[in-house]
Amino acid sequence: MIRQALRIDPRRTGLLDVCLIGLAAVLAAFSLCESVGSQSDAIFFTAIMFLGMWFSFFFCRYAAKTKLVKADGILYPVALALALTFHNSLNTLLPDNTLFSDNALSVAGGICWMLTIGSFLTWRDSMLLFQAVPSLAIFGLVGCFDTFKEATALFFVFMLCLATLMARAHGRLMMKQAADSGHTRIGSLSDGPWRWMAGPEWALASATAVVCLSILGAPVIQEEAHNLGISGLLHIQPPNNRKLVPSLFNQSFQGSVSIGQGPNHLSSEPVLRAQIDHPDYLRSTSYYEYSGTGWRTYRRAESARRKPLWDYSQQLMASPQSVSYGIEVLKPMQFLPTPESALEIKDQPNLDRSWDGSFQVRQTFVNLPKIVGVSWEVPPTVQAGNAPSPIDPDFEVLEDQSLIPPSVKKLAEQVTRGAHSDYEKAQMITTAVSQRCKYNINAAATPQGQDPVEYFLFTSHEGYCDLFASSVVAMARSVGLPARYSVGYLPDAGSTDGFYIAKESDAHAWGEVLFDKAGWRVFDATLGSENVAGGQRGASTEAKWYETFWFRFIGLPLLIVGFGYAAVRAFKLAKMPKVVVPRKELGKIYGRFERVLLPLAGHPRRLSQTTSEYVDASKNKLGDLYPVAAQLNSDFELALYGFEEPDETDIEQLKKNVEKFRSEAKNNKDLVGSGKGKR
Amino acid sequence: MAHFASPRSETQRLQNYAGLTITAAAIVLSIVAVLLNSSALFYMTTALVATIGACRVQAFLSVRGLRLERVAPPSVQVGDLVTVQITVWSERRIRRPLVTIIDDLPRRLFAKGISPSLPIAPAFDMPIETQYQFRPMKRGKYHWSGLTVQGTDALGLVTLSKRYDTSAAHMTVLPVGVPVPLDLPNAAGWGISEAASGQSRGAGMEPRGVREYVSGDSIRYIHWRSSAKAGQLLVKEFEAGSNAAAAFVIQRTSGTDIGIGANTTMETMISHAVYLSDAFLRQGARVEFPSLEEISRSINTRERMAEILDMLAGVQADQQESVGTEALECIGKLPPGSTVFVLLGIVDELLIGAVPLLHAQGSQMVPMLYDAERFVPKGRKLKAESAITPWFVEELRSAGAFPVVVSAEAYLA
Repeated sequence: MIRQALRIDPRRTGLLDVCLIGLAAVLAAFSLCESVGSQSDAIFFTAIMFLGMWFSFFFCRYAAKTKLVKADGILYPVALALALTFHNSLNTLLPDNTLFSDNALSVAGGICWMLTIGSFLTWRDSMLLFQAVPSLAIFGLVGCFDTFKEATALFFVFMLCLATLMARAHGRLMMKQAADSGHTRIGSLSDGPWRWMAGPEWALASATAVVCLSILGAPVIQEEAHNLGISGLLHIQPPNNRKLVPSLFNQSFQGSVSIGQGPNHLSSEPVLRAQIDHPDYLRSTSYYEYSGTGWRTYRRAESARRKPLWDYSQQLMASPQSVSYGIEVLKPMQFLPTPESALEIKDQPNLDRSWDGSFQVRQTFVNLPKIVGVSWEVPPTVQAGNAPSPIDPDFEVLEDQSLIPPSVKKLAEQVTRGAHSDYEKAQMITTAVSQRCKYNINAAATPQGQDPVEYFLFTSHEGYCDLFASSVVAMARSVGLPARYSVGYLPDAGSTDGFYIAKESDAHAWGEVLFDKAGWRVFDATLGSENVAGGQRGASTEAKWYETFWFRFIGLPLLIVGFGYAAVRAFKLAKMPKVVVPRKELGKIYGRFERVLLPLAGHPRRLSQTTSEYVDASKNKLGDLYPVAAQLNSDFELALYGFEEPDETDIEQLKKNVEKFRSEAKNNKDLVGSGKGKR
Repeated sequence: MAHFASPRSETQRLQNYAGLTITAAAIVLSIVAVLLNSSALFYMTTALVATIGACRVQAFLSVRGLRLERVAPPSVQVGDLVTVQITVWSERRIRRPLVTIIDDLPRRLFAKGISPSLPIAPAFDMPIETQYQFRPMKRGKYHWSGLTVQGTDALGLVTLSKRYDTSAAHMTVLPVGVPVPLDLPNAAGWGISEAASGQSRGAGMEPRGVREYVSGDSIRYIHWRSSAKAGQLLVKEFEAGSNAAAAFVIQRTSGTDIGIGANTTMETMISHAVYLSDAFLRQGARVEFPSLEEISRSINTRERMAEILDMLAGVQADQQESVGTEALECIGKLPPGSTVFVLLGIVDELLIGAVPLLHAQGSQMVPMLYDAERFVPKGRKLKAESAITPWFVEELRSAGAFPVVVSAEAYLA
């Protein structure tokens, strides 16, 4: 049965067609999931769509001769309408069911569901083509978000799939039309009236033209639109993408961040260039509430009419000085990393300043110019002493200890014994954490149910920056210091043009403690810690190619299917008795004739030339041989394209005539010489 | 007026819609790309626009620079499957996607089942042949020229057409006979009523020739010498007396052809005339159409039938004269004892006056009356009186004719 289903029939929708639209749909859904940063959802949609693809294929093969196959015309739109209507319920079925809960994104999730359900109901060419519509809509959304750079390349692949599918569907339509016209020899169309059809060379040329035009033209058009002042009139809030802030921070959609999640793979790809005096901590954002598994932003920060934390911390600073900096973002980010306590950003309407002074990106950041800003910095002469006491009630969250394990509190009290100031306490905590634990970017994840800080400090003693920073903040709060968990970048490589380049693997987390007069001070326990061999910070931990999502879930299955298919075909071909197709055999003999003509004509036959044109064009060079060649060519034309199928006698006769022509050409050495001379 | 048969399938339409969708998507996304200044959208829309552009260029080139010739059969019958051969040459040295040809068939041909043409890829200076089929549903003599080439790109997204003038095609669509029950009164001496029975077919005194033996022929009339030569039974045929002639007069006064398409009073009358002519000719009777031709010379049955079909193919309801006047023209043209069948759908009072005159000449008139009301399209009213109006039938009968109200079952579908 399966063999029957897999039988290749150019007049029917085949496995390749279903695969093409399946791949196109997967690319669209994958791009959307990637643009919002959910690989698990991408895998989920991909898996279901592949299932749907196979179902559709087998169904359309078995039900091809029944009326049932035409039911997709009704089922498909109904299913799509239902998917869009109940998208909220369907979105809860996703592995990362919080991702598409946002109003704007839930519709996008609904379109993904439309594609997924639609993949089960694409039984005919018309529905296969229709499946491209939601895919296009999804790519449009992805383009609007502009948070997934690879989406453009995927869109080109999508277009290629779609074009191939359309070309195949069109071919089938033409075959059907040929049959409807009363033509009986459908199998030999390509040797007959379709012989001179624009073939793959045209398709290749068109595709190349489209790709070149797009790659070269798009930036020019964008620039022109910008110069005309008509671009960028609208701003949209792209969805929060956990991947915008590198995955080291394991940030979730609701503004929380998990810690102790195990090894993380970060590339050495540059993410920003910072024009600063010295390598500094570039803070993206900070978290304030410890949740027992990670950190959360201060949920009541915006709701209550509190004064901003950045304002409060600036008021604490003694004789602050402003320092300028420049940041050039190379990769989309959710928050703009800034040094010290950022005061303001010049001429940048796309940034929103949040409660604690971090700058949230309002829309795509890829094409923004270099951002110039000013930060406050306390002079080195100002010594940090004690924390503000008592702290303003609006900022009591900085001292929140509610979920900190007692063992951690006890340890903090132990290590800070004998300290003379709060600053000294913070230093002692940092040193204690450094000495107690080793840095290992490949450290295992905290077991389920365990407090990550407690597990790190008392059991594993291994981890990377998130656990070091969390431990420092938790212990600092345990002894009454106002502290926060900050994430961002710590570039360690300089640049010749005064820029520091931060790579993805330079993503970092650290603790900050608030002091009277000195403001926020960084306490980074990773700096003094011992590294586990091979687990040091900054080492590129980019995933191996065979561990990437692409390879594991798309490349490898396609390879397996491709190899399997090739093996089956090869096996079938090997078992197939050799059948002599008269016109194919004639084609070979004509090839021989062309090879005899080549040295005489001086150039091979052009693709646009018919056989008779080729002979006529070489009339002068052929000289006395021209009438023989013309007659032979005429015989070939009649045999190759005539309505009568040539028989074995015709083939034999033509073979003999070609041999005769070859010997005549050999005898005519002068002519051959002149032909060669002109090549 | 030319009529473009457009046998585009559902899939092709959907492909064109897909092309429109992509174009619309490209336009909308272009606007959004500009408004948002999104690089990704700029790349996507440029790719979409470039794809559509490439498709349009390909479709545009595919229909340019062609030379076409058409070969249509000169003569076919209504309902026959007609295959038209078209030869195409490319005048440019370019490779093209497949093109299809749409013939500018005359609308009044009422062609049914027009198949799409065989898609072809025209080659430079090389004849590539294509064909399409259709069934003409209305008799007539048709002349038309011009062909439309429909070309799509390789993806089928864009379809463009170009019309080419060609030398005119001529085709005669011959009518076909539709059986009509004809219950003639038993009138001895009226040649045709004799001819209706097998035994009396060709049972006159004057020898006429031989014909095939048919069931009912007397064995004594078998011409054994001819039968031996021909290898089949042949019987001697005699003139069925001087009265054995049938004449047909068809109402073709302008405005009397009621109905639309191939379902009109004229078409029905002609198809019945064809049937009856064939039947009478087979029975050895002479068949004449005095208002359409001069009195025919005696030729063999097959040739006469072909002549009649060709003549009837060109009949149109475009005359000023009434059918009664045309019936009067028969006087003197027909041998005494002829039966004149007058086929009409609309009342013609002049016909009543023609009956006694024909009678005086020894001819019998059999008016075959059709209900024109039945041919009137829905929502319209017949402006004249239908020929089956009782008073008209009664008047004809009173005048000495044998009016036959043709049963509606015998009408064309």
